[in-house]
Amino acid sequence: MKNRLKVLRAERDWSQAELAIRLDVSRQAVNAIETGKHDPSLPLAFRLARLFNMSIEEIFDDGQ
Amino acid sequence: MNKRSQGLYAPLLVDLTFGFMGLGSIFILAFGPTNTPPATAIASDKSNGGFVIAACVILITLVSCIVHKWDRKGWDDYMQQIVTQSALIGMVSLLLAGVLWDFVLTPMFGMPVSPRLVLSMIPIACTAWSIGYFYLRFNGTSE
Repeated sequence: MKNRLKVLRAERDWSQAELAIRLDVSRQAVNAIETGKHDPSLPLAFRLARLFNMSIEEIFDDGQ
Repeated sequence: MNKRSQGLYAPLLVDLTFGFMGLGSIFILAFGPTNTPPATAIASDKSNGGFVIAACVILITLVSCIVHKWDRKGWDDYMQQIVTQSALIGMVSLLLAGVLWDFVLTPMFGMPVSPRLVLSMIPIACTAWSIGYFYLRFNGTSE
């Protein structure tokens, strides 16, 4: 699943570690989501959407 | 994830745990004893032992369900998915390896590992779980 996490993070000038702290996950989790290796669970997707003040669909694209 | 759980569930610590578990299990399977005498006498009455083992399995499973809930709260999304998905891979591999062992390996090579559960099925499960863990760790969990 594609996502805009890396771009959104760069716009805010956050490191992966900073974003991980804000999301309460490991840095490896942020990296795996950014590289498309991991699809986050629904609770984490909601946390991301709230953090960036966007809808989940605006961050993630399932290609449908 | 609080500070305590961050340390407990740190990805590096989980990597090391699965690394040691996998290597140890492979060592036991490759170099462990092929036959050991039974530690206890065979039960004369199936009903008592059967009831106890069923009760043990139910109790351990219920405890595992509760611990899994704690893990879900304490662990971060990524590592939790890797460990649970690789556990499923390990379980399926254990079943298939068991069939292979019984129907192919034993007639061909005799008993290749110990009939004791702790020296046979558990190392097979741990080896498969570890391989599954590192496969998902490197390749990711997404579709």
